Amino acid sequence: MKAIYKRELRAYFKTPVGYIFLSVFIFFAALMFVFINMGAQQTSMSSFFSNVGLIFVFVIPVLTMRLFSEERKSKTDQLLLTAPVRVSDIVFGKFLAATTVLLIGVAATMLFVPIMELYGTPAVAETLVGYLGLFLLGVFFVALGMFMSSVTESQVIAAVSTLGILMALWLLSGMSLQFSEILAGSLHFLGAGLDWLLDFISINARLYDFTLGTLNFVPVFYFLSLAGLFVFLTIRVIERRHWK
Amino acid sequence: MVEIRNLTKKYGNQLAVDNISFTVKKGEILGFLGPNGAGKSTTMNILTGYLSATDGTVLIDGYDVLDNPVLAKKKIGYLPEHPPLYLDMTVREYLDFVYDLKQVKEDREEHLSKICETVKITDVADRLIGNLSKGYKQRVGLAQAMAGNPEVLILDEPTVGLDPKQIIEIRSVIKKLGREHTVILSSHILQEVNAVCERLVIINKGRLVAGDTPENLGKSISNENKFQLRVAGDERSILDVLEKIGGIKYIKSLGRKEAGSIDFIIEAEPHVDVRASIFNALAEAKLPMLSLQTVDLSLEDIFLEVTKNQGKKEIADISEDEIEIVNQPKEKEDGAAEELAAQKEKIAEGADEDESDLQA
Amino acid sequence: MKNQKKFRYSLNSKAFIVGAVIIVLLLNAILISLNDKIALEIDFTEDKIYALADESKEIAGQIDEPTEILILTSGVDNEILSMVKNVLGNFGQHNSKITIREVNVVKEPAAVQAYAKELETLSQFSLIIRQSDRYEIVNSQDYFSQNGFSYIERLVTTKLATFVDGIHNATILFTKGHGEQVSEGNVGILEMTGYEVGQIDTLTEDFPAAEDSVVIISCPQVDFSVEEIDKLDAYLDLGGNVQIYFDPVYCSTELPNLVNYLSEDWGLIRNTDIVWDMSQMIENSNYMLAQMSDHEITAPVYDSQKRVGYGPANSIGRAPEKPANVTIHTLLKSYDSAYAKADIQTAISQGSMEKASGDAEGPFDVLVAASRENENVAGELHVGHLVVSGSALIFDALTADTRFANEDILLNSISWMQGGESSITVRAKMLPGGSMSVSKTQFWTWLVILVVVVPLAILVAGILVFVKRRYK
Repeated sequence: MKAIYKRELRAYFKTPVGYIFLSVFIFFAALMFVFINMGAQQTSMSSFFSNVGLIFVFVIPVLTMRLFSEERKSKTDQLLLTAPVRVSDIVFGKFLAATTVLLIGVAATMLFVPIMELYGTPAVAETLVGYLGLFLLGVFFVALGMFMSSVTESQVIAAVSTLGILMALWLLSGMSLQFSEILAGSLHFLGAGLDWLLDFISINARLYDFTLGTLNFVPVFYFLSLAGLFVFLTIRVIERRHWK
Repeated sequence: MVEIRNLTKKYGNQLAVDNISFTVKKGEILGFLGPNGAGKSTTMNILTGYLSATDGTVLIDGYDVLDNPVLAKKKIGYLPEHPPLYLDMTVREYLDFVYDLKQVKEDREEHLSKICETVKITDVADRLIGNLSKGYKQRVGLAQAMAGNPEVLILDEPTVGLDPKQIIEIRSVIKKLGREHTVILSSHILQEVNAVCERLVIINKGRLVAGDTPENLGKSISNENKFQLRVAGDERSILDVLEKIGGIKYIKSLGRKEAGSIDFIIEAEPHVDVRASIFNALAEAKLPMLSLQTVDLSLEDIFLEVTKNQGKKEIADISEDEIEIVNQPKEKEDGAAEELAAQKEKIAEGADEDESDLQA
Repeated sequence: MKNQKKFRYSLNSKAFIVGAVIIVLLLNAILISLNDKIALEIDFTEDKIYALADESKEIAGQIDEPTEILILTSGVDNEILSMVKNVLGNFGQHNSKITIREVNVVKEPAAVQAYAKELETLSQFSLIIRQSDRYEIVNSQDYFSQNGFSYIERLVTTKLATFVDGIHNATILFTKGHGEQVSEGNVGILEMTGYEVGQIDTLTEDFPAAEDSVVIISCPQVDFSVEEIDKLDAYLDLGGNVQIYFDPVYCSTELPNLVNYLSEDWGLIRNTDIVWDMSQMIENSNYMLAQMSDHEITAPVYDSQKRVGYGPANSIGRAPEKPANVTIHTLLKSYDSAYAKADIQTAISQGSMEKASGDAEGPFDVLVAASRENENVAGELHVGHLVVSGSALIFDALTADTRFANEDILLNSISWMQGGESSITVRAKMLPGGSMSVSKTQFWTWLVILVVVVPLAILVAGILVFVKRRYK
């Protein structure tokens, strides 16, 4: 696992991928921070956190698209899968490498806190909880992106499908509660069910807890369990291919 | 060392590998021979645990690849048909990674530089794999397989796509490796495996068709009585002359390859040397013989030989076709003849390649 | 046998995948639905917004009939709703009798039909707290103060208290008819704490029953008549409670009747000076820091880190002689660095509030509490309570700021008057974050550094690495 992790992490920084990810992420995150916090002169980063996830929707596919599709295309998966390592080690190594790059990005934006210290007194503990939420959201997205990458041989398809799914998730969670209004009346029962479902998949609803400054076990479990599920599914996909 | 029992692999309803069994002893170099699409790569992928069999068992030094994948894989070095190279890494970085991946216990520096020397890639160690020539890439692939000194080396078509010089070099490397390792080497070229292997296993359409030492196989498949002939003159008159010679099994026109001459493939009856009679007959008819050489046995020829006894129908059909051409040469247009010639050439390509290789 | 093996492998794997997906989704569904009922969170906010104060717990714990808190929404899910739900969830977690329900008014207009007459004041995220046929409204406009405090918990607790038997808050009456200036902040805090706030025309109306009432004379500009003073005195004799706020700026008129009464009957002198303290100014305000003296009223905040502020004040002096049945305690006094100008006119003529020669030297009392025992003919002992402030601003703006103890002192003074029976005072809680001051130049500097320089540097580094390696 360590070997895979190391190689994957190096690959991010020996090719432009890691730099593009960090650069684009920091660009948009900084834009949001400067306007939302410095512009409005507020130290609360909750608005920042509620919006910054949207950047992930666009940049995380870049981070995850090549993880497995590239290996399959260039046949290097034959090296990994015939090496004396378990499939789960391969998947975890890659997942952790992508997560590390994500963490670097998130940690870079944590510098916003000391910047605010220069001009006010931000609540550090609350803000750190927000950052934790942001990171966990990213971890979930990375796992999902990795899964998509394991399903296809094409990086482009992996990236576009990940982007599509993340975008859909993001839009749906913004749409919570509104479907039932459309369906109000005869289909009310259906609408209520849909509401519940939308609330369930609402990333925003889970993220709010963090942005408010509370560390809630429920959203922590939500993001981690979904990330774990996609890691598990990726392992299954790779192992099943072996049987095909 | 490697034991394969009743190996079967199905893709959907298609049988890719059909009930193959053979064993490879420790220190043996085994040639795994078969035409493209015969199931060689599938079998090798199963041996190395990349794919799993639909049925059957693979034991590597007693460990089942399916039940004890990590232990079994530890004993294998695999060079797949397409070397699994990360083009954006340097050779050194790549081998470092493989060293870590295989959890090699030996001293890193010493081990890797020894491998680099063996496959002669020391001078490109700091270059990006993507920028290397095909031959170098293949050698890096081989180096990767050698990392960790696995007891079994499985090499899938290690010389495909290389130039003759590279083929010779890789071949000598493999021979050298064979002293310390058990090697399974696949190829679709007989000469390739003949040159390095102690034993051959031949498969076609997923089935094992023969398995023996090259000598034994060679005895049963003699190719001494098949020639390629180039004669100046027009095709009709040459054929008239040749058809009268006794002891010739069949004649096949390959068409014009050099201005004013026609090439033929001639096969004599077993144990009859017809070379002198041909020379004399042509000289008599004042048709100058420009060249006469024995034809190397192509894999198709071997299949013809080894499967003849099994009464494979498809192969018999092809032979009839060929005879037909000989019998009705008048009706054939020149263009059609050329086309056929081109086809035949393709079939003989493997042999040609090897030939030029030997010349080099 | 091998076939069985494969079968087992693939079956396992299929069952595994489906099972794992179902388990994960199910667990999450359960946890999400439990979220409102069980506290599974750690509150990292500085003011512990999401943890109930002990007072709230006490009140919530006393609710013994099913009580529902409706959150009115219009289908928008945002942070405010999350926050409100989170805070309310705590009540539900503390007492299962209390349930929280979101009501989408667009979808179920029928649900709010019963409150039609309140509809005008109701808005998104307003709360309706109901128990059988009684209900209380908490308006969303009152949730947050401008300077970043959350009053949700406090408002809900106060409203819940009305459903609890045995909790009865005093009535607070502001006198009128004397040009009184009443601070809205003062009234707001009292109402939010659950007091019934009203007015009293002391000229025409009778004083209320002494127990369970407080009369506040806030910054009067017209003197009280002798009759009114007599009624006031009688009220105090019966154990009444009075707070009087003077001010050197907003109501500097002399009030001979009132001032004489205080001096003769209570031994307290209202000076017409103006106390100022340049060295103890609170940033961005007209307030100065005061020192607390230990007393029942200040005790709860005496040891806390909280500061207390006062506005420009009349110093409150002591008469040479005071009636024997009166006890006086200083609550707040200025620091030693304070000084007092003779009156506001002097300050105006000096053209500056800087200390000048002739100014009296501090410290000065600015808030005092006095009690007077009185035994009536029947031999019953009544204790009248009086709080006199030299500054009307003392219970104004700063009372809303939980970093200051002003609110505590106001509310504690009222509960002291009630014989120590404490009111439900759930403090407002500071919302996450605060403000910072960034100048235009700083804004643009950071914009360039963070948005242009840093990403560009990373990108260039990436290109360099890429190009360098490309030709290796």
